[in-house]
Formats: sequence, structure tokens, C-alpha cells
Amino acid sequence: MEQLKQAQQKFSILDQVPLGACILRSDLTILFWNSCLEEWTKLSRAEMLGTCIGDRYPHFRQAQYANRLQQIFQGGPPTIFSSQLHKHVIPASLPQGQMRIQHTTVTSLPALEGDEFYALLSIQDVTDLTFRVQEYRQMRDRALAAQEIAEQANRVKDEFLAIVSHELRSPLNPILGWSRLLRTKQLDPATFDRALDTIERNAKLQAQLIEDLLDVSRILRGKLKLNWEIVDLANTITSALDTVVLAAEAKSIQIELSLNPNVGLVRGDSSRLQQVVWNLLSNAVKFTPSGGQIEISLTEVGSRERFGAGSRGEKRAEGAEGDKEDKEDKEDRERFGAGSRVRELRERREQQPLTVNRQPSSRSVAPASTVNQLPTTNYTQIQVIDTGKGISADFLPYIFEYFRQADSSMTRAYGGLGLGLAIARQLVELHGGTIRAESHGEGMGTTLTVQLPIYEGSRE
Amino acid sequence: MSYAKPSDKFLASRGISLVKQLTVDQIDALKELINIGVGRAASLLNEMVGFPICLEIPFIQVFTVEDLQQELIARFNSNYLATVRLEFSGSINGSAELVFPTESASTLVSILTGEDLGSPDLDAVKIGTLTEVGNIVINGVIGSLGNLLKQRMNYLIPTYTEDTVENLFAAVEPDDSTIVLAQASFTIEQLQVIGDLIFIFELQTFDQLIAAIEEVA
Repeated sequence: MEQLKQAQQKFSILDQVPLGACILRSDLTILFWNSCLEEWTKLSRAEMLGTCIGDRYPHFRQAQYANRLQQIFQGGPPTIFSSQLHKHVIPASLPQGQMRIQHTTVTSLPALEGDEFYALLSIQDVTDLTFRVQEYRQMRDRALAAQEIAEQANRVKDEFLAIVSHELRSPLNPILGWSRLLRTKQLDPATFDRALDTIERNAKLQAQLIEDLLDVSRILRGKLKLNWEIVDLANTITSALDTVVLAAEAKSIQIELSLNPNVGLVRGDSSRLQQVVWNLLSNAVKFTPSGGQIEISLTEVGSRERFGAGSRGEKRAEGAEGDKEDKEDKEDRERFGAGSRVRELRERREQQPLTVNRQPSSRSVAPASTVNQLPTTNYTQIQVIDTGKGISADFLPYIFEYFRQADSSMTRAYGGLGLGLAIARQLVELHGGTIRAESHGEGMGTTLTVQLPIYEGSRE
Repeated sequence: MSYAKPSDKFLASRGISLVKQLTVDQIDALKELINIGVGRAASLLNEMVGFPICLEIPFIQVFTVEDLQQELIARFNSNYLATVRLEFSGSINGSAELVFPTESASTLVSILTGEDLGSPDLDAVKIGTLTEVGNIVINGVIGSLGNLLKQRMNYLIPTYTEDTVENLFAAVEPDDSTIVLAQASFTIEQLQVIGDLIFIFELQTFDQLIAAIEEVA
């Protein structure tokens, strides 16, 4: 008891420091318990002094504490119990309920009597610091991630600018070259024709590039307008095919067409859908080597055969815009007289499978209430399968993004802006459909599949 | 990351010469002394983190301050180093430091605390942990020195510093100091983290230390 009294006098200055301070004798008896610790633990010094700290906090008897304290009681070097490895050396809760996180330094003090040593625990409350550090780390990680994305986007943009400039300039070279030759007026008729052909082809190519760019710009600004009508995809496919046949022939690529004549019609913008098919086809032709093969098929699939959940565009088509679409469907049905229109188209298709009159019928309207009671559940499916270069698994997730070809060297080898599939995806999604690409890897060919909801009005 | 022991040829090419030619026996004794301390530190760390940590001192060398600076600059360029330092006085005076390239310091902390590696920098909380680890390793070695010398020593509180090689040793009086450099490597499962354990002794007390070692050797 005398020792306790002496300790209170000798160490009273520890009541003046903003740290938890506690002095232990080598038998773990508490000799001093400062006012800061009283406040933190709500345990008064009257309760604590003279008791064994191991009785109240058994962890002090565990080897990892006991061994290190033993060095202190022998006058050894100071020991640190850091907050990450020992959060609560002397457990103390905060008003909000969480525990104070502590950083503890233990130093040895010569005992008041004899030649032994006491251990002085100085405890720093680092709760606030710990949480601030965590917050800071999270904020910084988020900022770094955002910066990474921004930089990536910037790189893609820079690369895109370079590609656009290159692609826009390329057709100009033959145009200028042949124009100069034409000016000489010394060309024989055959060469003259060839000059005009080349100029025309390259001007068209450039016009197409610019058209694609404008499309992207419209899509990105949400300004793309669709002219809704009832579309027969068989017709769309053959029209699109017409425009790539020459290119395919030039590479001796064999195209196999397989159209199911009984496929339902879809509602959409026929020229935009043709653009989609054209993009898929020209892509296939572009990336298929000479002598390769391309298959195009048009089939009908039920809802169960659809893509798994998570396909892009699916939710949008069936979710929030459903009501609006239903309303538009109804308006269109009234306008077009869907039921009779379908029959007309079917008949025509059977007679002359690949040409369909595109003009909306002005015949009498079928009663709207009798059609389209169920949500759209069946889909027409267009599949383009090529034996081309395929897509590596790494790149597959990105092929529908703007301005992406697998790498910039590919742009040089194959030309083009890498916009075709991105535009195709946007257009398909605007039609409530989905697009998917599959490939077993490089050199293994690619399968592109588009599914569009069948216009159920066409069933009547 | 691993460092090979610099060959005598390498040292000579940089104009580094060992300040004191210790006998093989003396070096062995010193090495054993340090290894006992480091072994004690390793078992403490094992208990704390609950998985096996191997702490080894593959070699030790004796340098002057200038030579050490050149040696460390050659090893780490002018990169920042994280150090935990313990100063002591008594029958021998000097300080002991555990030096890490900051990146491996951070790796070590992440492994010990089971946190994701995250960013390779050190913040206030990580620094606390590293200080504890450094403290355990240094205390192990200093403890075995203390036992050897059988005299009471005085210690200051361990401090953490992050600085370049030049600045870290700028305060050490070049003429009066001898440095024992011991390379410590932590092996935790497959991962190796290497730190340098550096003891700075004043020259006189180094002689005293050698004398004490001679007694046991």
C-alpha cells in the first residue's frame, strides 16, 4: 500500500497528459491508472489500483504480451503495440459504441524501490486517425480508378482521331491521283472508265465513313430517329447482301443464305435494320480470308431460346419502355392494319420470296383489341457465321464499343473505323433487340447473332 | 526481390573497404549473436500473426558510415527508405535501425495485417505497424547484446523515419562510428521481403563489443 501511495505522488504528472497511462509492476499489479484512462474505461483508479491487470484483461497473460512485457520488467528496450496488430490493449468504448483503437508504447521505468523495473503503458487513441486513413484510401482508390478510366477514354479518343484522319484521307489519294490523270485527257476509254470507277468507289467509301460518324454522333446525342414500319427481315437481308456480294466475290468468299420463309415480321426502321445487317455482313467479309465461307440465316426462336439474362438491351425492351411501345404498337397497327398486311406479305413472299413491297398497306384495319394481348415473346434471329479471323476472348467483351478494333495495327490492316458493330448494337437495341458475338478464339471464325422481337400483330 | 551478397570485387570497384578486418571467428560470433536475437523476434512475430515467418540474417558486414552510404545508394539508388531506429546508450552507444525499401515495407505490413496490398505507400496506420515490427526485430537483437554485455542500457523511444540514404545517415558522426550491416530477410510462405538491419556503434564501444564477443567466441 505504501508503494501505491508513493506511486500516486511520483507519477501524478501523468494525469496531465492527453494519453492513457498505466504503470504495472512485474507481477502485473496496477500501480498507476491516470485520469485519461479513468475517463476512457469508466473505471476509477480506486477500483483499479492494487489489482492485477491480468485478472481484468486476461490477454495480458498471453505469451505475445507477457513475453514482451517481461523484457520491459528487466529494463529492456521500449516495446510498441501498434493499432493494426493490437487494436484494444486496454478495451475502452466510445460514446457511439465502437471501441477506441489504440497505439501503445511500453517503456521501462526504474522501480521506486530495489533494482527492478516497472512498465509504463502510454496509450494513444488513434480511432479517428484510423478511420480517416481508411476514408482517404477509399477516396484515393476511387479517384485513381476514375482517372484510369478517363485516361483510357482519352487514349481511345486520341487513337480514334488518328484512325479517322487516316481513313478519311485514304480514299482521297486515288481520287486526286485519278483526277490529275483525267486532266491530261490522254487516257484510253478503258482507263478512263477505270478512273471514274475508282473515283466513284472511293467517294462512296468516304461518304459511308462520314455517314457512320454522323450516325454515332446522332446516337450519342440521342438524336437518332427511327421511321417505324413493319419490316420483313428476309427482304432486309437480301438487300443488304446485294451490296456486299461484289466484295465477297472479289475475295472468292462463298455466301450461303438460309431464310426461313415463315418467320414473323418485326416492327422497325427498315433502312436502319438493313444497315445493321449490312454491317454484320461487311464485317464478316472484311475479316474472312479469301476462299472462306459466310453463312447467313434467318430463323425464329421462342423466348426460352433467347440469350441469358444480362444481354444488353433486353431489359430496356421489356421494362420501362414496354408501355410506351405497346401504345406505339397500337398506333402502328391502326395505321398499317397489321393482320391483313401480314397475310399479304406472306403470300407475296411465298410467290416471290425475296422481294417485298415496302409500302404500308392502306387496307382496312383489323380490330386492335384482337391482337397483341401478350407481350412479345418470340424473336426473329439473324445469324452471320464466318470462317474468318475470329475474336480473342480478351477482346470479345469490347467488340460492340465505339472506336474499338482489337488493336490499332488491325485498323491499318483492315481499314475502317471500328464503328460498324457499335452502331449495329445501338440500332438493334433501339429496336428492343439484342446482339451477341461468339468466337472460339482467333482464327476460329465468328458468329454474330441478332434477335429482334416479332411484331405479334403480324400473327393474326 | 532479392539482393545477392556484394562480392569483394564489387566493393573494391566502388572504393569500399571494410574498416575493420574482423577475424572469421569474430564475424561468426557476431552473426550468431544477431541470429539469436532475430530468431527470438521471429517467434514473437509468429505468435502475433499466427503463421510461420522465417527471419534470416544471411550475412553481415562491417562498414564506415561513408562506405555504408555508398553501399546503400548502390543498392537502392536514391529511393526513399523506411527505417525504424532505436537509439541506445550505456556501455555501448549507438543506434540500431531496420531499413526497408518503402515498397517492401508496405508489403510486409499488408501480409502481417492480412490486408489487401492495395497501394504501395505507407500511411500513418501502416507506419504504426511497421514501427512495431521493426521494434520487435531490433529488440530481439538488442536484447541479446544486452545479455552479452550484462550491463544496463538506456533506450530512447523507437522512431520511424522515411528518407533518402544521404539524409538518414547525415547525423551520424563519420569518424567515430562503425557500422555493422546485417541483411535480414523475412520469408513468409512464398513471398520474400528483405530489409537491412543496420547497427551503428561508436568506434570505442565497437571495440568493447568485440572484446565481449571475444569472451564468448
